[in-house]
Amino acid sequence: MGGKLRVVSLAPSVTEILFALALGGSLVGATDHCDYPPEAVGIDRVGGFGAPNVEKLLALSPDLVIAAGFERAEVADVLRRAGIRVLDVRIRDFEELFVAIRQIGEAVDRSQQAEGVVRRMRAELEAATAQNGSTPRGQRPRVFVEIGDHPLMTAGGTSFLDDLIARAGGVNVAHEISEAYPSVSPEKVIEWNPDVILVTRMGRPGDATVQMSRRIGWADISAVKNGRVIDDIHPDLLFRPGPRLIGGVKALAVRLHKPEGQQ
Amino acid sequence: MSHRCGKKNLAVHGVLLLALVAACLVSLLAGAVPLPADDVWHSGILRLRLARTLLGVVAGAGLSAAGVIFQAILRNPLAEPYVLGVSSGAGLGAALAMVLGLGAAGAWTLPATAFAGALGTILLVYALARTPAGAAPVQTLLLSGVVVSAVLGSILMFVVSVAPAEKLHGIVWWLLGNLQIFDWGLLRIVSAVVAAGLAVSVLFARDLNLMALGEEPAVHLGLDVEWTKKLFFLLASLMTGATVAACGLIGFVGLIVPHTVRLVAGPDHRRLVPASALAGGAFLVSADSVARTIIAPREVPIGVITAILGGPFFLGLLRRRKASYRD
Repeated sequence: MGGKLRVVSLAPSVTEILFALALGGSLVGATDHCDYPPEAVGIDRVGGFGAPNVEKLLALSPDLVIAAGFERAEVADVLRRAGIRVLDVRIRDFEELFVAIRQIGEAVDRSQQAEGVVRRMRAELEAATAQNGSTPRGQRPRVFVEIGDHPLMTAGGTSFLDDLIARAGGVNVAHEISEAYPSVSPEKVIEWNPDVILVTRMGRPGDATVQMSRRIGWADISAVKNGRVIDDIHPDLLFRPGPRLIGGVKALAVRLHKPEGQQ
Repeated sequence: MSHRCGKKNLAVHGVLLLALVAACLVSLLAGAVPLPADDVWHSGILRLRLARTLLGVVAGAGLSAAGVIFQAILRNPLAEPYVLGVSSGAGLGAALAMVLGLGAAGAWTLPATAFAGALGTILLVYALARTPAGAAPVQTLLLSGVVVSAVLGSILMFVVSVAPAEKLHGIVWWLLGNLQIFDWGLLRIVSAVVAAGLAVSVLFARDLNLMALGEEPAVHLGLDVEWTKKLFFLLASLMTGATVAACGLIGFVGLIVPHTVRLVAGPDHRRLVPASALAGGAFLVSADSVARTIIAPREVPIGVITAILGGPFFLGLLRRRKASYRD
């Protein structure tokens, strides 16, 4: 390969994967949301998640653009017509994440490193989930994810969080809902009566527990009664499908296995 | 004459009250999940549903009464609670609160910013429409309302366009309205504002009749037109603002309920204001029952339901009564 490869990332997760492959130096463009690792902040910005400013992107004359979904599919065609290689990965669970890391590794000529990253992540994931192996599914803590409270929005069965909760040793109460991020009735949450509530928006730690105990009818929910509301795991560790998700699994697993009342 | 009028009043209000009670019962029984068979009275589900039903009654009543008032003082059949830009102002306030993440500061930030946006807009519109002599001509009010609404609406769209994807869902939902409520305190405040607004409106409903004749005849009949306009402007704005703060923008209720009730109960505001409040409450509570159950446990924004249910119903009524609508 003549000269250094010029790569533009169109997703924060892709940026993190590239840095994990030690290819941060090839990144000539990233999105407004690419803020990790800290070195990523200095990279030229080309626009939002999957929604680049095409002129700005072309001006960087990249060889390769890696996206995790485009807001408008035509953009990918425009880039291809301009002679740029486009890789669009799709990541909805851990297996797809490993596939994506391999695809990215292949595209940037780092297959071996990608294999290493995947192997390391798998090992860590297995270590984190080993302690769940013996607990039958019926006895695992039942988790409700609260992504937004206006309206109440959760993570359904096809979301990455569903897989993440399962790997951390819990069961997502909204697993049966096929949509990734559905709005649900608050009364359904009372009926689900989850053991743990995972709040994924940022706020002052501890606020969510107080807020929920004040909600009409929520004081009797097991998680609220027993103070098992988790609101201090950084959302990027839960939502950004890159190498750091393992950290999210670990953090959640530790919290799920704490005995009641010691949140 | 007045005796017959009183009887008709009683009949209309009686029927609407029954409809409201029935709608509330259905709303308490229907939902995303069945009520627990044991210990229903202590179940959180029932309490939550009760709060939500009450909010539906209050919001429906407030929006419908505000619609009646705006139609009367602006003497325009297209007038509704959002006609002067309350929706854009409140929407901008709410969207900013969501994009800037102010919600982290407490559950009250969103209603508070929406209410501030609503009232700020209405005060701005009134100030813009006021002549040096202190009057606020109806046409000027409408025009400044439409323009302020358009400008704020554009700023709102700008905020929406730069909002991060994960915040869009919340903003869109807010703009379509919903009756999810988590807090008795918020419900109490909204109820107090709407109840006070309704009481004063009913008390001065006769003045609305005079206003509806036109400002000049009203002056000749001894009405202080500017004062009346100001009073009702304030009442309708407070009721709308409080409702919007708690439920977001629920369209259509404030437009079609007053017209529907007028078709049935006639144009006398002493009857129209309370009847619209009852009918609006019943309609919104029913719409919410549908919104909560149709794809349960997921929810549909209630604004979608009010338009789908209300539009065809109103058009049907309009066609049947076409001949008599003008009187």
